Parts: sequence; structure tokens; C-alpha cells
Amino acid sequence: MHKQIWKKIGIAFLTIYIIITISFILVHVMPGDPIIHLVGQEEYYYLLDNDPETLNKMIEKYGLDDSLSAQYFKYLKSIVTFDFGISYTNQMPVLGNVMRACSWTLLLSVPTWILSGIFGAVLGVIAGWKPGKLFDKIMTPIFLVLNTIPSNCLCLLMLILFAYNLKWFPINGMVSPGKIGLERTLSILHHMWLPIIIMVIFRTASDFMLMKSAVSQIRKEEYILTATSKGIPEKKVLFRHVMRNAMLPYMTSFCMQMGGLLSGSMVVEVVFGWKGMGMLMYNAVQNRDFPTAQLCFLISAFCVVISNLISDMINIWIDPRLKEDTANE
Amino acid sequence: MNKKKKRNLPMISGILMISFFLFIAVFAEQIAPYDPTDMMQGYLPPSKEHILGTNDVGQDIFSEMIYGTRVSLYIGIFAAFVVTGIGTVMAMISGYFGGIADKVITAVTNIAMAVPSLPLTVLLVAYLKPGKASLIIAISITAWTGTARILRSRVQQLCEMPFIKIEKTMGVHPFVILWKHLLPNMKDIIFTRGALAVSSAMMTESSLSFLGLGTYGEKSWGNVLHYAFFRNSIMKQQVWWYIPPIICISIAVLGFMLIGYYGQQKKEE
Amino acid sequence: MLEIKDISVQFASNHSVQAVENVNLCVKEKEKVVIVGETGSGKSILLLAILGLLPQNAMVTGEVLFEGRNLLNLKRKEWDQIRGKKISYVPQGSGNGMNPLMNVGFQVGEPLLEHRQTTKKEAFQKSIELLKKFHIGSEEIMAKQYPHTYSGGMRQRAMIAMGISAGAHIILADEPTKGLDEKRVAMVAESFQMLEDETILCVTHDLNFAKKIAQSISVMYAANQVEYAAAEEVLNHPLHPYTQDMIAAMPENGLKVSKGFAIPHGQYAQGGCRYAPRCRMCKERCMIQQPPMINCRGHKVRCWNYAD
Repeated sequence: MHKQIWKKIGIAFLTIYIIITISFILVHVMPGDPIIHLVGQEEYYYLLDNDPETLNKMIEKYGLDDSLSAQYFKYLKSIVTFDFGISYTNQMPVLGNVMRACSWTLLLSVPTWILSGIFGAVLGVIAGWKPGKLFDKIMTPIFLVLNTIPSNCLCLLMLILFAYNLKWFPINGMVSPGKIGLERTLSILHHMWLPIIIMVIFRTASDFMLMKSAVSQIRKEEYILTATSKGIPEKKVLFRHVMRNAMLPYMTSFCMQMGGLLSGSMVVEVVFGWKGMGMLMYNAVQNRDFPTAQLCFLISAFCVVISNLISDMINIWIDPRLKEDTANE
Repeated sequence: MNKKKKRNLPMISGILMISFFLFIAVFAEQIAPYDPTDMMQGYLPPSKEHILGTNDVGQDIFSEMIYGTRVSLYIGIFAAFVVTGIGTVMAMISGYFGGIADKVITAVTNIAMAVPSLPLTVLLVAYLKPGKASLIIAISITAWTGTARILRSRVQQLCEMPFIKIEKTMGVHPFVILWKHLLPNMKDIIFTRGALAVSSAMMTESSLSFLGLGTYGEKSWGNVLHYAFFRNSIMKQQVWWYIPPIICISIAVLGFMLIGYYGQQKKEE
Repeated sequence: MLEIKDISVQFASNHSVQAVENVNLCVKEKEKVVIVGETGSGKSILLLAILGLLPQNAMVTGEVLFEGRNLLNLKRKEWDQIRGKKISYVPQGSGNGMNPLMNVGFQVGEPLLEHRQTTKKEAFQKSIELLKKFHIGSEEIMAKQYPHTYSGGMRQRAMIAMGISAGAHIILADEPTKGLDEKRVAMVAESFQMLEDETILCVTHDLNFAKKIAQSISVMYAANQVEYAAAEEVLNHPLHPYTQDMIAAMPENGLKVSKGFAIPHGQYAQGGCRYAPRCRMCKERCMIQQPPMINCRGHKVRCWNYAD
């Protein structure tokens, strides 16, 4: 069992390494002068015309004159030492910018993740346990349609309905200006509502589908029949036998969703002007602020890899069949 | 007979939705009353001349939508072809040959799955030259993994079937087995995955275009929505501007989803 | 002890297939009854119907009399007091009959937990004892293991243990020998022979296995009960042509296959005897009219040849 876990950890590190390399390749192998990618097009032409000195310093700083391999090692070194450079938009260290954005994003995505995990599971179990009953007949089409509406469309529709027409929630931003202390917190909460509701609806739709199909498949399994044949009351069959097995795929997907905590809310953030990771990356790309964009990408990827690793481990922990496989290896 | 028809109603309605859009895409020139790049008076409300009014620079929104159908469908379908193609080839190689090829492809799939797709896509769109081709590349680059995984297990299943085993022992060329025996047996599932791939590609495209990272010059539905949103059409209550793209995107995605989803269900029965 | 009267099962979907037709069985105390039939003859469905375990779309008619009550009218709560406690079901060992995420010891003891209100520990201890009774081997360790580590035969024996753990006296077993090799079949048969005090109603396609444990045998063909008598009677003097064909086709009788055994679904003559199209003693009457159950000196058979 330990062997398998170590192997998974090893693969996770390898994956991270490969992703780092990919992001290096993206900058250096893509058509065009890498300095353009690093500095940004406008900045590049501006510097070329007005301040070639700085441009040369830049080229030197990034070691773009060196061989590709030397550059690569330099790049690796900068990552290991957490030196991600200075943002071109606000001249602050990229890392600080990204971390600040991260916390704002997590403020939205963690409650979303947990709430929709619970809603999806509960509703999915009810619909899957009694398929074809009224609850299933109503909920399934609703969530199926919600699942198909692209996120930007639903975002706009909700924004129009709740913020513009009903005026229940603020239209944009994270906090009303000039508030401090408790008032500030309340204001943030007030601003969080609508984006969280939208994201919860989305996530719940996919979680619901997953849980429903898991439960409706498992309830047809022979061991459920066996459990019923032992005279175990329906509720106990559901909680003891069906749920335990349905939780297996559900937990896997739930843990994997953790990977999207940082990168999954870009559209919502842009629509609501929420200054999180998605917004930061969006602005970075728009302004050709490549150090920032790159770090955003790396951190999101890191998050995904780690959450996949966690979900693998949880799987090994819950499912005895997987433990056995290692013994045979 | 009647029963069967009833069961496939969602799929038929999906096909109807898609055919409707395909028709519009093909005959865009004939249907659209204006060239969508022509600039007239801006911010006109709907009228006889302009069914859906005009946008900020005075382009006819209805014509934009008609031409947008073409761009959106083109990118969605093309990307789905790439995704499904790559996925199928990867799946067949890894599932059929096994061994090192399988290990390498599985590893690549796992890594590609670990890359957060929207950020990578955004990054790629930024690095690449703007245009339809780079959008398609960016959309497809991580999207093939799901298809590859599902098809791989299907290939492995098929390879355990007697008729494939017999062919193998008879020394039939692998290419012939793959092409003549495996592929026809997988066409249903490939079709299903393909339809789902179109819908998810269209969703990604609409997100990217909505963010303003999409095609340049030609406007897709997502682009129309982008301008509608960032030119404050919502604040100005210009319903005719922001609602049509939302409806079109949703219906097209739903259409492909219905085809894919119910195709799959039929298969499972 | 358990009386099954005119049980018919019909599935509402797929153009209302008749899965079981007018089956009658009378299981006395401590009697071992075996229902023999090919795959698809409806024997497993009959078993599930008796325990009320069929899915919603199944329409069950007839009566199952037990302790003066018709079981088919019971509510779920009343069922829970009978299933596992008085009548228990033993699923196929080769299948997925045990929850893969729970250890075998817990699952074997689960009926105790439910019906005898024991603690988990006591139930687990009892299930180790039961596993010992059925010779699982290194029981203390195996009880903590999960079902996938068990072989088909071990799983089958563990499930028999599970069936009797709460003291149920009627055991309904579904194809206990499916997918097992001869040695394992013998071990399973031995386990059944150990259940002297229990009443057994077992379904199988394996005549050899039936021979080892049965006191009475009922033969089913295409949803119909075609023969029902004491085991020696059926095995040594089979009356129904189908039973005769089946016994002739057994390996020790020289594998004489008179006709194919696959059931042509939906092809059998409507109204006539189900076996008529393939029967070597088929008469004109057999094609038109379905034979009733005919009692030949206690040997019940559904065939026109014995009408007189």
C-alpha cells in the first residue's frame, strides 16, 4: 500500500515538473521573439523605440542571449527559489499579487465547493434511490438543462435578473468603498452572494448528475438485493450499503474538483469584477503581463495535480480492492 | 415502433435544433439582411430595418448573429473533429498495442488531464496568433483526454473479443484490424463522444470569445455577447443585444448535448 | 411450512413477458426442494418473487403462505421481520452478492445485528464461528478480509453462513454452483448437507448437484413448472419428455443431446405446451392446448401423455 502511494507521489512530482517545462516551452518555442512574450507586445515596441537600454537589460536579465538549456536551468532555479519576477502592470512582485488574488478566489470557491458537494449529494441520492418518481422527474431535466447552459450565459442571466431587475445584490465588485471592520466584512458577504449562488447552481448540477447515476447504478447491484434479503430496513440499506459505495466515485470527483478551486471561476470573476485568480490571469493576458499569467497557470496546475493526488489516496484508503492490487504487484 | 420513437424524442429534437443552425450557417449570405461589418447608426433599437437593432458601432445585430452561427459552429465542429480524432487515434494505439505505447500514452493523458484547461487555453490563445486556427488548437489541446480514456477501455474490451483475437493470431496487419474491425465497432461511441465534444468545444469557445480572447475580425456568438456585456448593454436594458447570443449558444450546446447524451443512453440499454 | 400457490410473474416492460407461470410448490419442514431448469426458465425470478424482492415493474400473482399469512401482501416493514430472520436468501457466490467495501465478517453477522440486536462485536464473533462451521480456513483473518479476496466457492459458503446467521429456518438459494468447478461444487454441496435442520429451497441448473442435496425436485421449462416429485422419482423415472431429455444429456448418461437446449424466446407455441415444438413425443393436442398439472400417483407432471 505504501509503495503505491509513493508511486503516486512520484508521478505527481513528475507531472508538476513536466507542466513547468511546458510553460517554459510555451514562452520560448512559440513563434516570435521570446522577449515579446515576456515583456508584452506594446511594451516591447515602446521600449524598442524609446529605451533600447532597458530592453537589453531585460534580455540580459532573462538570459535570452544564453543557450536554451542555460535559460531552462535558470528558469527552473527561479521557480525553486520562488522568484517569479515583477508584474508589468503594477510593478509589484508577481508572487504577492497572485497570492492576494488567490485568497479572494478561495473566498468564493471554497464555500461553493462545499455547498454544492453537499447539495449535489443529497439531491442526487434522493433522485437516484427512487428513479422515475416525481422528485427525479422534476430535478433531472432541470439540472440537465442547467448543465448545458454555458457559464457565461447563466452568469449574465442571473446578473440581469437579481442584480439589475430585482436589485437584491450588488452588480459588481467585491466590497463597497469606505467600509471598515465589521461593515466591510458584511459588505464582502453581500457581494459574495450572487457569484456564489451562480457557481453553486452550476456545480450542484454536475454533482447531482454524478451522484444520481452512481446511486441508481448501485441500487441495482446484487449486494443491495442481498442486503434487502437480510431484512435490513430500507433506510439502513441506503445509508449503510448504497451510500458507502456511491461515495467512492463521488469522493473522487469531489476531491478532483479541489483542483479547480483556483482556476474554475474565471468567467464568474470577470463578469462580477471579482479580483481573484481568474480576473488576474484575464487581465494579465489582456495586458500581456506574461510573468503573472505564467505564475497563475503554474499555481492552478499545481493545485490540480495535488488534488488529483489526494483523490487517488482517498480512493486507495476507502476501496479495499485497490489495496489488494498493490499486494499483487 | 411508436414506443421507440417516443424514447428518441430528445435526440430528434437535438437533431432538429442543430439542423436549423446548420441551415442558417450555410445560407448566411442569403438570410442576413446586411453585411455584419457594415457600420451604420449605432445603438438603434429593434425596428423594421434592423430586427435586433444595431450595436455600438452601428452593425446590424441580426446579421451578426446569422454570420456568428457560421463561426461558432465552424469552431465547435472543427475542434470536436480534432478532439475526437486525436482521442480515437490515441485510444486505438494504446488500447490495441499495449506495452510501452500504452504506458506512454496513458502518462501523456494523465498529465494533460492535470493541466487546468481554461487557464492553459487562455494562455495559448494569448501566445498564438489570434484567429480561428489557434482557437481550435487551444480548445483541443486538453479536451481530447476524456475521449481517449473512454475509447481506450472500449478498445481493450473489443480486443478481448474472440473475433479480434482470431484476427490477431491469423497475423492480419494491425492497421487492417484497427481500421476494418475496431473502428466500425466503435462508431456509435465515437459519434456520441463527438457530439458531446462539439457541445463542450462550443461552450469553451463562447467563454473565450466572451472574455474577448476569441476570433478576430469574424464575430462568433460569444463575441457578440462580449461586446454586449462590455458596452454595458445590460445597464442600458438593450435586451435585443444580449439575449439573442445567450439563447443561440444555449440552444446549440443543448442540441449537441441531447444528441450525445441520449445516443449514449440508447447504447447503455 | 412454506406453500407456494399459483405464482405467476409478469414484467410490465418489454411487451409483458411472462416470466413465471402458475407454479405450485409445497415445502415441508426440513425438506430440501430443488428447482431445476435452464438459464432463462424463470427459476431465479420465482425465488425472488417468493421473497418479494422483484423490482417494481414485476407483477406477482398467486399466494405464498407462511405462518398463516400471504407473504405477497406484506408491507416493507413486515417483510423486514421475516427476511433474514425466518426466511433467508443466499445469492450466487460467483456474482456480486457481497458488498465489496465491507469485510465478510460484518456482512455474515449483519442479520444478527438486525434481528437479534447484538452488538457489532458479538455479531462478528458469531460470524467467525459460522465461517468455521463451513470450513473457510483461517477464519479470524478471513473474517476481516473483503469479498474480492475470496474465491467463488468460499464466497458461496460464506453466504450460506450469512443466510443462517440469524437463525432463519428456510433458506432460498440461487444457483449456488454457478461458475464453480467440480471440487468446489462438492464442497458447497457438503455445506448444504450440513443444514439438516433447515428447510431449503434451492434453484440450480446442475442436476448432479440437485441429486446430492434434493429430497424433492421441481423441473421448470420456459416459465412453466413441468414436473414435481420426490427426488428419486424424478431422477430415476422421469415422466416429462423434457426431464427425460435433460437426464439423458448428463455426462454420465453419455451426453445424449436429442435436441438443442436453448430456449427460442417467444417462439414457443401460444396456447400449446411450451415444450411441444421440440418434444419428440409431441402430439397434435400438445400444439393447441396447454396441458394441466397431472398427478400420476404423487408424481406431478405437465404433459398430455399422462392424461389418462
